[in-house]
Amino acid sequence: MGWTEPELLRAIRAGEEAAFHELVDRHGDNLFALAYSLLGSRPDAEDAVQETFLGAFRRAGSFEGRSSLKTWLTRILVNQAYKTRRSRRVRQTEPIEVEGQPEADDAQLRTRSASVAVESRIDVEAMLEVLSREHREVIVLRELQGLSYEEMAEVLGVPVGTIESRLFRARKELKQRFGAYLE
Amino acid sequence: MSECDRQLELGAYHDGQLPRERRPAFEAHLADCGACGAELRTLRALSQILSSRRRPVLPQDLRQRLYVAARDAAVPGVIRLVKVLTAAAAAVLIVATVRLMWMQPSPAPARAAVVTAPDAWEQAALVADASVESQNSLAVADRNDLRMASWIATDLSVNRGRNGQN
Repeated sequence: MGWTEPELLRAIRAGEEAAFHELVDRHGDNLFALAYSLLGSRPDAEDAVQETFLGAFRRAGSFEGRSSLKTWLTRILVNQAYKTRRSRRVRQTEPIEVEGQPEADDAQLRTRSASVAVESRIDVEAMLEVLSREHREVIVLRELQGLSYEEMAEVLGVPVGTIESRLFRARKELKQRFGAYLE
Repeated sequence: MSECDRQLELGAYHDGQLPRERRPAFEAHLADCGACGAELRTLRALSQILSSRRRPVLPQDLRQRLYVAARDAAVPGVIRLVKVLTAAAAAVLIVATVRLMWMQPSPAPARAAVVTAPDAWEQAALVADASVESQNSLAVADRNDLRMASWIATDLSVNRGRNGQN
């Protein structure tokens, strides 16, 4: 069903099952990728996404629509990921299979040089792992999710200026640690 | 190469978040600043590596679990209809109540009249010591009322006098 955002919003507030399905279809992949980037573990990412959607379904009636659905869900997920990280020791990072793509199929990366592609696949996890929670959040939201500074500020509940300075410090740290890959 | 003090601005420019009106001035600076030029290349390389990561998709079994959760969390159609009708009825009730409050005259004077109108025996008591003309007006009171008035005027006043002496 081709819902527009306001239509979807109205249907979600009314508690329509079809609207909840649409929410999962529209934002599920993105939220799972975000959860995996923040938590580095597939089981933890699954738990965080499930809790995020359950929370969204429960609170749908009170969602005022002042932010977009994407921002609202992202905010819930980031908070959920933080709780997950805090409440238990995050399981060891494990390789994740991309559905529908065999391991050998690297079509997405063919536009780049083979060596950089291999290195980057290995190192992105390691790069994110060294960052503090705050720095990891801004890097993931900006570089992997493509959120604007204003959306990031809304998701993290901090001023835009804080987002800029956190991004600056996070990138500085990555440059210091992984400068060799950036030559 | 030493750092330029416009690094925050450079980050915003790299992210496409620098306000449009500030871009021309910053691009002019970028053309002259070797430090910013080098830093911009580094930021681009970093972004390229980070965004090259393959994005995992929502596992199918989790998607199915979420669909089940959606069904459980959804409000059934009948209940939604009841909610809508209840809200409409409440709105009508509120409007009707407000309109009635505006239109209805104040009941205070009528109530005052009821409170101040004395009973027949009270009228008789009040005029017990009054003039003959007033006594004549007691024709409207029946015999029992007159007896009651007489008792109040005589017996009670005697008792009041005794109490006052004490």
